[in-house]
Amino acid sequence: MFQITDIPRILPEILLLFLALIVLGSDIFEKWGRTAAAQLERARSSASLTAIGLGLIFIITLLQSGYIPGTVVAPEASTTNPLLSYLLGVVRNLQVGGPGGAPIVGAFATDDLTMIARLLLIGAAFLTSLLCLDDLPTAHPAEFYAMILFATTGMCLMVGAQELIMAYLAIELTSIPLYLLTGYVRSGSRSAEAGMKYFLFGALSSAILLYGMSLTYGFVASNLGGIAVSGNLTQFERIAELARDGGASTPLLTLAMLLILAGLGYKLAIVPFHGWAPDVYQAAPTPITAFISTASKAAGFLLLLRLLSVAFPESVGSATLGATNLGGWTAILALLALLTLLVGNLAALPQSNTKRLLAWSSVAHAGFLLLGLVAWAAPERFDREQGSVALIYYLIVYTLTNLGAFGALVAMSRAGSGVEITDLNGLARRNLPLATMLTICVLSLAGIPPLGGFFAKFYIFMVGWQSGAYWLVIVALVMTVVSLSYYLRLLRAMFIEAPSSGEPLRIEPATMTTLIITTAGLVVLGLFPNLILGLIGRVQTIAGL
Amino acid sequence: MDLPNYMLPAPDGLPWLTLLWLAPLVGVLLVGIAAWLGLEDRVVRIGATAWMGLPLALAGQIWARFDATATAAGQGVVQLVERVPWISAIRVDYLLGVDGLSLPLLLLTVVMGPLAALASWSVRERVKTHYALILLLQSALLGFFMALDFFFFFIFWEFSLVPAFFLIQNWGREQRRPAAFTFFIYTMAGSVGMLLFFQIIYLAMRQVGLPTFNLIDLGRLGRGLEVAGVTGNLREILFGYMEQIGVTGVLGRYPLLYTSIAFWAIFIAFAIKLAVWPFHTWLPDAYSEAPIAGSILLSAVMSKMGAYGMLRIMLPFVPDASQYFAPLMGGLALVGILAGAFGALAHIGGDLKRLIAYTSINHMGYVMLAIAAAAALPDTAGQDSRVSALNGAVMQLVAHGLSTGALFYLAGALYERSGSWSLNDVGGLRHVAPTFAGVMGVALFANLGLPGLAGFVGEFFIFRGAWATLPLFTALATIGLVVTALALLLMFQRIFLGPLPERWAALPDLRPRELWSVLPLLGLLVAFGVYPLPLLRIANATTTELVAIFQRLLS
Repeated sequence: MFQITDIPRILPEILLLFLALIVLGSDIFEKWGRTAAAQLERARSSASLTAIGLGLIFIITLLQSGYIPGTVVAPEASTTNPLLSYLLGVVRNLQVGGPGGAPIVGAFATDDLTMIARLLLIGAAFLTSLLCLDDLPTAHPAEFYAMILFATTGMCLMVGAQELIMAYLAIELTSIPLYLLTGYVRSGSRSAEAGMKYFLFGALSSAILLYGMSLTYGFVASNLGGIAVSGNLTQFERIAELARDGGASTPLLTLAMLLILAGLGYKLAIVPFHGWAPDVYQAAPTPITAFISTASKAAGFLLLLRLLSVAFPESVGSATLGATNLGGWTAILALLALLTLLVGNLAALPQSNTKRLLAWSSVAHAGFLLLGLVAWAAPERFDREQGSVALIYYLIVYTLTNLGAFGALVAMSRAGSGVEITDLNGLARRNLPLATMLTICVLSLAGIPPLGGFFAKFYIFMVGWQSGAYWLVIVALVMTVVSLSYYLRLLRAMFIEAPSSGEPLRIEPATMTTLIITTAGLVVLGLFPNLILGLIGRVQTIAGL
Repeated sequence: MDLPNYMLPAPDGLPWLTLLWLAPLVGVLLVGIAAWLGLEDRVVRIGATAWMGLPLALAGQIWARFDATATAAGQGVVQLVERVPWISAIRVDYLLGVDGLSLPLLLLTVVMGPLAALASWSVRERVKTHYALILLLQSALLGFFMALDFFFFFIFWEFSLVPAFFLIQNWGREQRRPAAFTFFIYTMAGSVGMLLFFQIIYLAMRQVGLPTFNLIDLGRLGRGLEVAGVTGNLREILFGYMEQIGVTGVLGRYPLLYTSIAFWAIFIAFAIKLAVWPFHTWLPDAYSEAPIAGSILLSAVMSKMGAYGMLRIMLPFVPDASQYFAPLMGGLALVGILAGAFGALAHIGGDLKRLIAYTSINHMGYVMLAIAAAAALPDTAGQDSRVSALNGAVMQLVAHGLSTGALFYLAGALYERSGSWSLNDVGGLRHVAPTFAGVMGVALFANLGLPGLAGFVGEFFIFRGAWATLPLFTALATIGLVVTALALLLMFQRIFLGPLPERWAALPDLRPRELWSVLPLLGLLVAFGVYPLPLLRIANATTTELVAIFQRLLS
């Protein structure tokens, strides 16, 4: 039953929706002039409203999570100061809806995983909106920003989904705005084409996903022999429970799982379901590319983590060569990871467009991320938990890195430069801070210590090894070295080549802020991973995975 | 924090080591501020060079607090230890400390810093960035020699590549791009195996209840010494883990096989850095294409990272496999010695920097030979032979750093005057630049190991120690000595002797600044040549305890 007390538990999602509606509604009251100045004015008001709103929602969510030491309000805390007392009451009421509790109507879990993911996703959306602040769309600005907010809502719902229908709806709520955002620049044919391509691939993958889900539903319903009394036939835990009992239709469930994996694989751009990714990443407006490649991927991976670990724990299998229980979804994911690592890294080698190169590198990173899921093959609970911790840490670092890297590209295209690698030539001489920050992002992607990317890789390799996928870890290590050669090309262009034009490159303040936040985050997380590892470690102890 | 008895904090409780590696980093910051304020290049040049005095002073303080004779629980005591828990999830500690192996190299690093800074006075473009990179590189190198937790060890190891890469790429000679690229990729690719090995070791250690990346503790276990109640042996722990994950079912139940795999993972990583034949191919390009400051730091300090890694990790972790492969290591060392020597000889009519680079391969070959000899099998050799081989290796590392640093500096000074790296373009310079000739002569004789100079002490100890275990290789290696001497003397002859070409008649002699840059190094070379005890004393206790395992393995 949904209760009124559940409302604070989904406050971030409610606020996101609310903000989206405000952005749409307030646009009506703007002056809809045809002059450039009026259009800019209108776009700017939507953009700043979104950015400020997302910032506020992020802070509220952070307060609600109680993750910042010193912000947790004890139940008995009180003060005589009326204003303080009021604030105390507000924060206390917020934190009532903090992490914990049974899933709302069995469909939406608000545990630590959801909470951390919300912070990650809303944070990513906030940084994206900062990037958009400088890269303004002129046509229908309110819709553009509202789309970002709708997609963010969808992602937040996705990571909390404990049930198939919820998961599917959340995926669609995320994907449809993203198709539109990809094709937003209608004046350029590439963006529109990419939007179309993304939509077609997305629709196909949704169909596959839905097919898998309906087979799962069929499995559950038939196993219950039509005596279903409650409407929980699509809950993840229910599926696992029935799978444990076995039955003649287990192969059906395996087929369903494969279809679901394939469907989600498309969304995550895992090889061989990655066909759309390079084109879409390259042609979408750069802030949107950043958003798709980070937030959307993070949400997808976390959904995959929850879905596979809660609904299909029986068919974990093992990815160890020669093991008796070789098979299951860890083996499939290990195979996909192998393909993703090979194709992603090798295809990135010959790229001449920075955006496309980063697109392929995003594909490759999905391969590393899969190692965190493969860790579920480990027999001991402790190692599985480590796998999830490593996955989430990697996702956080990867999100920061990619937002920073694409942010630098936004800065460049705003300054009138292209995004070919040759356009990076001599960037250090044109704008040293920008070049330095892009360098930090690129080095973190390559996994050079002491940046966040190094520890993320180090950790995920270790959990991958512990799970028994030795061969995969070795391939991943080799691919890390291969990846160096294309990342170093970017560095070489920036620092070594002669600049194409001697003019200094100006960066707009909002983009600069994004870059500073992301690079500072990378350095801090790389040097002090302990800051958030303890927090991420809570995911398991409370989520009860 | 509780420290075992083989680790001691600083007597006065100050974080000397952290200050030491942070000092150059603060220098980077200051250079950044200078750039922001738009100060003149000249100010940055003087400031950065002067700032190099700070690490020097700090290292002096550290030396003063170091008790070279302390041993405890079967090893030299690691001193001035700082330990802060860092990543609790995988038991990473921020652990710094110095012992007899690291202190000489720390001292070498702080001495070469000012020289590299002085050598960069001739850099004309992007001066601030250049100095920032030198300071950054020094910081990474210092951190590397002090870090005793693999995590930080690896961070400093890899991070030192970044400034070196940019130094070569931005200020190097014509062929700098492939050189920098090869250098970076080689080192990085080589260390991948080591990274994997440590992850496995960590997981293996978890099985015995002591998950750790602590290099000292792991090294103790490798040598069969007790750590925090765990008395096993790294070899058995590794084997047990391999058995548990089922690898023994595939590869067989031979404990030595797994330590051998570990040995190769470690050896390749460090052999590339030390430029052991056949892993040396990156070296001539990197050394010769780098700017002078880069050449100095690369040859004098960075190549020492490889030797240090072997002494710190390879010998104590996998003593049995090291012993097993010692003849092979000795063989590679011998080939390197000869190849380096003849390579140098082949360049007497060519590129001065390449010639010096090849002599570096030759000299690092002696270090490799010493390490192989310390581990090698014959039981006729006493512990003293093994110790003197290792002490010689440490001495050789320092002496070679000083002399090659000086040679590269002088080569750079020569290039500034003549505008050419080719030995064919110069000659007879003794007539116009007598001081130059004299100073270069001393550096060169120290390099080729003339008695009375530091290079001789190192080589003498190495040959004395290696003779007992690897007599054949040692005997053949003497050919390398002669050929290198020949190459270096011919080089001297080409530059300074013979008739003076007309166009060099106005070539200026060493300027006071240049003279005073090199004189301290020459002073040290002479001082350690005549009285090497202070330096040998630092290393002696640590190396004595280190080689004890090879004596034990035999019995």
